[in-house]
Amino acid sequence: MVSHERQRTIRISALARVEGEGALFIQVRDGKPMDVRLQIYEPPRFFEALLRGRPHTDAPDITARICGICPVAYQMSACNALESLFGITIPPEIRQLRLLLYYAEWIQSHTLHVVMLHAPDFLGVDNVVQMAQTNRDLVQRALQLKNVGNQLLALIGGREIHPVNVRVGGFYSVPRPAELRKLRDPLQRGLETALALARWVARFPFPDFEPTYEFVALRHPTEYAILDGHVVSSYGVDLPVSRFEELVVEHQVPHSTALHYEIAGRGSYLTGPLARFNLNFSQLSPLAQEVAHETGHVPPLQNPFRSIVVRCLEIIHALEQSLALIERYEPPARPWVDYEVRSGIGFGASEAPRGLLYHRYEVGADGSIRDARIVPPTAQNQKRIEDDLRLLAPSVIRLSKDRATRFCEHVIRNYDPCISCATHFLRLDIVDEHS
Amino acid sequence: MSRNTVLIVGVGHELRGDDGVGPWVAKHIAAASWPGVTAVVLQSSDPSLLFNIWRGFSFVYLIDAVLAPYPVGTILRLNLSHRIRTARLQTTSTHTIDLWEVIELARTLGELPSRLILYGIVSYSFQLGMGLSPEVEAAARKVVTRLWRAVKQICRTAPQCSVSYNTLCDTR
Repeated sequence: MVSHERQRTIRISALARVEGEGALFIQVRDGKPMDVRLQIYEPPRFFEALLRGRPHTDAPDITARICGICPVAYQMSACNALESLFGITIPPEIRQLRLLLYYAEWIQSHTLHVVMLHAPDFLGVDNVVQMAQTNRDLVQRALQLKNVGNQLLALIGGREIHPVNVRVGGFYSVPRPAELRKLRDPLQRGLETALALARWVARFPFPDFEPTYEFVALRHPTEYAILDGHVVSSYGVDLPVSRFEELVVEHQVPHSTALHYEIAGRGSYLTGPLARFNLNFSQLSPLAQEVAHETGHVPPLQNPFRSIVVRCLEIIHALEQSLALIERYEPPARPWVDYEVRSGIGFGASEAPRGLLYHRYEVGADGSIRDARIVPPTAQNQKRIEDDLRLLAPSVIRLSKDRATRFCEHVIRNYDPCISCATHFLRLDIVDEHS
Repeated sequence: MSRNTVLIVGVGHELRGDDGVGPWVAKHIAAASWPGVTAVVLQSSDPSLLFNIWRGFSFVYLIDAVLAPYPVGTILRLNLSHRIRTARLQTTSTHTIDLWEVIELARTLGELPSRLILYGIVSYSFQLGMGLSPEVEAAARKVVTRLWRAVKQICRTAPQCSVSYNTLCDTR
């Protein structure tokens, strides 16, 4: 960085500890942000085109390959869309098993992000290795917690990464109750760890930053929405998933291979843990709500830096719910339900760890996919991330190059972006022009 | 040698050109069924899975593609049982926490196998698609041979181990 000159430039070659490859460009003139671009240059992978012409039964497995961190989210949104088209009613036993699989993904994904990626930002250390030198026990326990999520994923999904046991109509096979009950003790120990994590991160120093967000998430009548629901926003939106595309407008921008999304007529919005928390707080598990009150984290919670606390509360929720589901688990009579293929368009959504994940499929009478549309949470949040960086830019340019880099990366990690999903490191260029 | 003595982990993705060199080596060894040796592929976006994979193994070998200022096909052997105070190798991963962090985290937490060796093969192409560059495939074959020698060396110190050289020949 060259200061005291008309133009100031900061260039940082790569954003670390996010899933994927991207860069950040910030241009400031007379202290005012002129241009903020979160540049996603990871090549597009054309999954939607890849699906065209393939049997609808391929959708859960192919779309799961979009992300190694949240494959279950892709499987569930795909199944929701296709099952709604075919008029399939999923029996409660199968639905509960899907919930359990999804909680497993939340546990491992959130724990990875909270401990390995995000917490070092608050402690002023470079990475989890340095953090572990002073927090050895907690990091060790967190790794065990993440492992419990992986074990649950492997048991229900067939393997830890890219599960293979999900199909339209249910599962290919289901676990025996005794197999699931073996995980009760590790899950219970995981719950103790999650409580300790939540109380630990709640004491972190959080910057004062409270932008006004329009939060968007799913809402379910009887549970903290994860598997399905209808689309709601903090501005009063309440729509079935089939009308999601009426709510949002997509843009292509030259600097990103991921599409940008806005609420028609209102601008950027935020999806993910903070949105779910603010919109559906009363449906969190009793223990998660108790810890939220104990640590002073209750709605309205607008500060994105505090999303790390919300992720911990969601881990608590997922663990409590998982334990309850395992306790009452009865295997379904059959792992899946039969169905008749019908042509038409199906819509589905679920709550990935990073936010609302929408799928739409047009299926022909022969059961093949004619058209596919996938809207991942990171693409939806990309504009909002830029807006928040724009708000923070005047503070950023006063920092040294190293501190500016760290701070911008910290800001971006608040949203736990999965750039691979959206189309993935960050290069930061800040240009400060004095007129 | 006990059943869980030697673990060989091929790190990488077969669909990304030379990034598939780790899996190539692990699969050749797995197919040959070296007694006392477990060979696995880590093709995940989450290398922290290694904490579970290497638990219980005394000797662990990691095979991975690397970018380094050496000719393509160069084999770099690093003893990771001791902290290395040299420039960090750049792996081909865009994973959320990378292999290097996992190793250093394991060291900090006291969860590193007693002997951990990395064979890094300097690679060239990471484009989509299967198949190794000729130099990288040649290096992969040499790594298999070196691993065989290493396993035999371990066997000398563990008399109950018996490994047939013919088994190795089948893999070549």
